[in-house]
Amino acid sequence: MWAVRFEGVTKRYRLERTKYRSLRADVANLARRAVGATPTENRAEMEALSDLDLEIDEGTTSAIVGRNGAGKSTALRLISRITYPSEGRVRVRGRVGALIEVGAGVHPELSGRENIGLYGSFLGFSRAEIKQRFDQIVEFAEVEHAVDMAVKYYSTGMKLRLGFAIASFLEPAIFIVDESLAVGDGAFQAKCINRMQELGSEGTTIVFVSHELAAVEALCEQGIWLDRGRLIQQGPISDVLRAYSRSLDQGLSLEQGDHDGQLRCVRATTSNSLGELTSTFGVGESLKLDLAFAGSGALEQPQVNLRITDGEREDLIECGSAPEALDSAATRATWSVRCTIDSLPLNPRMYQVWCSVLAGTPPTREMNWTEIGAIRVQPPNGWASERTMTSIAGPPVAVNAKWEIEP
Amino acid sequence: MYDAAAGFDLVGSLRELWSYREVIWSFGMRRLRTRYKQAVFGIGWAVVQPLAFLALFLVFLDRVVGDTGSTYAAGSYAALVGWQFASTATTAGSSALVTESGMLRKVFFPREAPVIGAVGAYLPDLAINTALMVVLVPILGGRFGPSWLLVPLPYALLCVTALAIGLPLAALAVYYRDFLYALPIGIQLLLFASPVAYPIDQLDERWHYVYAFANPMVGPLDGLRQIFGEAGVPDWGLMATSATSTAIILVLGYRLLKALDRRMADVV
Repeated sequence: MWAVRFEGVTKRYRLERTKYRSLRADVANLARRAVGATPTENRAEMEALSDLDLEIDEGTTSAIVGRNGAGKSTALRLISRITYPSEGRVRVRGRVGALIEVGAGVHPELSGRENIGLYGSFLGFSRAEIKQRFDQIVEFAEVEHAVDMAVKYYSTGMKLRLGFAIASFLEPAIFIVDESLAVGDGAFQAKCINRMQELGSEGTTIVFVSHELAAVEALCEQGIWLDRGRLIQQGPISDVLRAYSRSLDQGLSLEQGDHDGQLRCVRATTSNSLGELTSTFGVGESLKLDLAFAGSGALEQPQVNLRITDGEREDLIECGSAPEALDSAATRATWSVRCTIDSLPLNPRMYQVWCSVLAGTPPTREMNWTEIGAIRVQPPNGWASERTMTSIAGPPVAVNAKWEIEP
Repeated sequence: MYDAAAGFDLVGSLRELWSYREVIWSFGMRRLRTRYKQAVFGIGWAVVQPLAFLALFLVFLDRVVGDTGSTYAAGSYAALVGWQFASTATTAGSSALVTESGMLRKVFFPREAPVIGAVGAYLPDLAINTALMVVLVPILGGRFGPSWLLVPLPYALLCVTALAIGLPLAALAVYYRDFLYALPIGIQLLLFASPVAYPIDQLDERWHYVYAFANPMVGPLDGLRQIFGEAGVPDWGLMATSATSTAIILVLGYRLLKALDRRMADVV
């Protein structure tokens, strides 16, 4: 039995020059049309979802994965009825609890207590239902001390916790979470994941969107992979994630564009210790990154810099080559280098890799920071796993630590 | 269960609205709680406006309109209280969806809910003003009579009229903010086109029904003048005419809002 069903759903957004419509402009365009002239507006349309057919079964936990712009958020917005399809039909069975954004429905002037009532009612719950679960919500959100304080004095984390607690403790039939967990700290993320597992085992249908593929893998049974508004694959999560990360591997190679003389990174591939091309690594595994550049001529003493980020925090890793290390690398307009990281000190999740290039004496910037791809770190494959805990929801940095009982 | 492809269904919409009554209540309470939050004088501001206008009318209009009679002050005060409620509630209702644009993008609720909540949030102001009126009207030369018990009728009519105008304007304002800028002008003009500063008999009797149909505020405002100024009963013909006009605006306005609500989250 399905809980959510998309039947030939297409969703188009109108990309308008100005965000707000003005009556004056629309009337002017009507007048132009009437006299046969072309209207001045540029009404490009963007198709967020194209003829999508999809069924999500009752009681399953599904993840929607895909790159930016794949239509993940649009799908969630359609399920939660915030917006309507341009074509086709969306059908949903049961009450939807959606956590589309941090602080949705939280009013800054009102206290935590008032907001629980308010937000709960927006999600379609009665006052009695809310009252019944009030204590649980406050406890989970860890806002006991601030429950009568105006929410405008809350920290982002407190607001997030409150929102998640409300949405998840009011027992929706369908629970939707969009990325918002990324804002919280590690302990809270772990708590949320536990709570979602609990909900899942109680039979709630969960739809989860996240770039943290490790969290997705731990939590979800079903995967839905969207790309540019189309369904690529739906099935068991491990199959979908495998196929999706394979596509990311190919995605790591950059497309060749027009050459305007500016130095560009034209190819970036990653491979593991066995020399296989992949963008998936275990914690502590070695990573080889091959980079190819194209510019307008030779460069003197190029310095290549790498950065790894996880999209939320500051840069996690920055490593650059010394000026003399790649001295004679760029004697021609196209050149290649390799960077090896012996032991990847990162905990399981998705990371973005960035690159920039300096050259000359004194060094000047030849290529600005450019995102060259993403890598995925998996739970450890034997690496220190017997003695060290690695957490999918904890901080990103991993160390190879040994724990022993002192004799 | 819902089906996003389904067309407009009045019974279904109303049933859904009923199931979201807590949301209407919340929108109303939220408006009420935040409205006078950082004002020292608080809800006291609600009574200032009709009193200030009354002073203006007494000093200025009394001389212009001329023979206003001994019940002019009491009747005008009652009409002013009704007018203030109707105009502030209409304004609040019309801007309700734009005000809640953040919610509109993130949460589903029937789009008419914040409009109804915003209009309803002015009912406490009306109650306070009415309480004050009970004290002030006899002082101002009005008479106390059993017809005062009829006061919920014109109030209800004003409330529905504010809603009927607010619903379509709120929906249109999501697409075109122009409506929000035009509204205060319209409200100001409407003040002079309503029997607030002057009694309805300033107008030739032949035109009364046309007037009450064209401006649905006329029936209830005249009713308030009758009740508090003369201790009489409202003119039922005028009330019914205005009520008919309001009903037509309400049905059309609700239909318009329902037609416009699908793309609101994309454009707001």
